[in-house]
Amino acid sequence: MEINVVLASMMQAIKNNVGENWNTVKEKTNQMLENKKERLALLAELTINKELTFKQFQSKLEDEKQMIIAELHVTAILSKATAQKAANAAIDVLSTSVKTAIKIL
Amino acid sequence: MHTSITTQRKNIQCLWLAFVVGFCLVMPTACKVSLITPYDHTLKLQIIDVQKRVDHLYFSLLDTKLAEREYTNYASTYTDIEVLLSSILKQNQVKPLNENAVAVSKIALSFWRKYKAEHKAEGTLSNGLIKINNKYMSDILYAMQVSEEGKKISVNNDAILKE
Repeated sequence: MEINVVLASMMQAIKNNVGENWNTVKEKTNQMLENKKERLALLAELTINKELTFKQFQSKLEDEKQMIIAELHVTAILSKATAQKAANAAIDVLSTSVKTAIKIL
Repeated sequence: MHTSITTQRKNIQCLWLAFVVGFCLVMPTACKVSLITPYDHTLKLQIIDVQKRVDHLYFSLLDTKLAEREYTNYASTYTDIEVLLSSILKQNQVKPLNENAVAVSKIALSFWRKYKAEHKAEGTLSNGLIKINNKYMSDILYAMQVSEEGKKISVNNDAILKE
């Protein structure tokens, strides 16, 4: 598995989801994916150096699946928060326009 | 006759528009879209507290000789952290529109229970397991922090994720 390719794909998926808010979440998202890179490197190193048994390595791969699920949930939160902000901004524009129109009348 | 029907329609449309506008003006919060629960600063601080306790436990274990790393010496610390993680999960569960944060909290708690059970079963913990368990806990707790802070996007663009 080419980890840098996987990380780049994940980053692109998140970027597509959060749209114009990408710059605001970039730092934290980068850090989350950097954590993944460090974690997989540590897992590989400890297994190669026999500090972890093969059974322990397999157990950690199960944890890794859960980590991917958790990261997808985090992405969902960022997307929902972005969508909420966009929808309310549109409603605010409408509300302000109506209030202005009423004042004019 | 035709003019009368047209006028009636226009009147109904005007009344309907006036009702919607009036409703939004009288009850502005009812016209807001909610897809996610609001950001909770207290919860974020609790997550950071758990992170410190987890680090403290694993750093202490690394500083201890292998033979002295019996589970019984650390059982109460494991339980304390489990209680805190369980509390965070419950706080997330009672909030509406919060299923994603609940899912992340559940994963964190399941990791902790698994690592606790492994230590208990083995009686001790190798350096390798300490390092990798700490890394997984650290990263899932970081994901929990990001999921809490991410909620800030929904209300304020300037304060987002800059801490």
